[in-house]
Amino acid sequence: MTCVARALATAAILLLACSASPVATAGEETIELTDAPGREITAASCAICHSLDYLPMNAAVMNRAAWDKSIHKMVDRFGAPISAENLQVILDYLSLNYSAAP
Amino acid sequence: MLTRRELLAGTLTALLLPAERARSAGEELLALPGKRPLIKRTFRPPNYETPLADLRRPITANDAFFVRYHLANIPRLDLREWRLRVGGGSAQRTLELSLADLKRHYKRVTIAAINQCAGNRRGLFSPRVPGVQWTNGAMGNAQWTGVRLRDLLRAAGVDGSALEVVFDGADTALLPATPDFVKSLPIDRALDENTLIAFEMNGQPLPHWNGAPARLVVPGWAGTYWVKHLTDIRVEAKAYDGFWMKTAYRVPTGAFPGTRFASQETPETTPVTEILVNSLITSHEQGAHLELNRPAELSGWAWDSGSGISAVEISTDAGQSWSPATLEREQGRFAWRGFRWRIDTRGRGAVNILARAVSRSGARQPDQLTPNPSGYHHNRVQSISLEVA
Repeated sequence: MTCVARALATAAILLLACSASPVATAGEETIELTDAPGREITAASCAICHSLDYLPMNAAVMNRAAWDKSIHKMVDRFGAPISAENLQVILDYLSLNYSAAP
Repeated sequence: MLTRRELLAGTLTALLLPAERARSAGEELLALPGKRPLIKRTFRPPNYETPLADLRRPITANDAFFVRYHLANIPRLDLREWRLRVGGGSAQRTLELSLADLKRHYKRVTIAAINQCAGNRRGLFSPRVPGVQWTNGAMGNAQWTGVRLRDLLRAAGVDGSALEVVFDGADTALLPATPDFVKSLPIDRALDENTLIAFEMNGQPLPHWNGAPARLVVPGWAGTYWVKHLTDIRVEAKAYDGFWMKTAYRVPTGAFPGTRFASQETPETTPVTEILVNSLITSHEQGAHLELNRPAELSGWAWDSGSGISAVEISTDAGQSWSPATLEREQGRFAWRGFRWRIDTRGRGAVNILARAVSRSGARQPDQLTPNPSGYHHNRVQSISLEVA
């Protein structure tokens, strides 16, 4: 199972919890995140709520501080169920692989 | 209406037809069910932008119209069961209306209006800002048909305490903890004769991805207020304090012109309200080639929040002098207005064109953008370079 497929499977479990959730996921399984440590946890956590194209789309304007703010927004404002330990993994992964801003 | 099984099958395995790839990397044209291929920004929630080629007609086709969602759970509503509730703490009664009730008991109204995302052209800001990286196509022009919101509010009985009207649609988040997409309008804008509950777009039932069976239409105001899949309208005496009003879709107070949303304003930030004067060249893409001595015409659209367009000005000398383009007839003051301008093709080389619109209120597109953290209100003078060869 690829990381994206696994992330989508996680998302699908959540979808089944909602009744008849009409969520179009087709197509997003083609998104390939950079292969580096933390990829699977990042993919699984982010894909609960949104497709992974949000990561490369914003990479050009992001750095470690911006990702830190963004990840905390996801948890504090949007209620993403991510453990403190995984938050660190995700922050490291995105800072190293999706941060083009100085 | 689809059964639940068909619905699941239809959406979870939604056909996304690959089409020709857009020029730049990471930009793909994909078709959602019922739509033609659009520029995919994000799959889920679905954010799809209209390509320039589909913005050339006076009315943007329903299947080409942009798609913008914040939350990923987007139900297809059963018209037999769908009801619009109109009530709230400052209403004297609660109405429960079916689509047939709306059509039967209230006056039918059609308005041509621009629907433009507040973040249209965010991807063109420099320095760049985070968010969906739209270019020019998070907008379109359509004929919206429905009933006046004020007719519904009067039927429900608005009392003197009313401050805002709050709108909720059927789309929700996947997690219960995520703030639902709920927006409010000041009571005076809700009672404006041009604010509609629309159930048709360009003479057809609203497309699913544009808010079926009914959406709010607020001509002149940014698309964020045009709540889709409407289910609840509440008249309230208090300012609505949900995330999508008090935190999102805000700009620095005093930074932009336009109607102020007093009950939502703080000393630091204020909600995006009206769209700004703007224009878009649709006849040519940046870098297009023109044939020497062959007549060529530049054309596009200009619009504002409803005062109407009084001029579109063109410069070919980096803004030292400006000459007026020919304006087309108006389609209505909230719609875009066409302009045309003859391009001089008598000499080889680059033709650098600047285009700016002027509104009847006297507003003119600026040379510089006003920076703001979320990249709203991009309306800088457009610059395009063509090549005569």
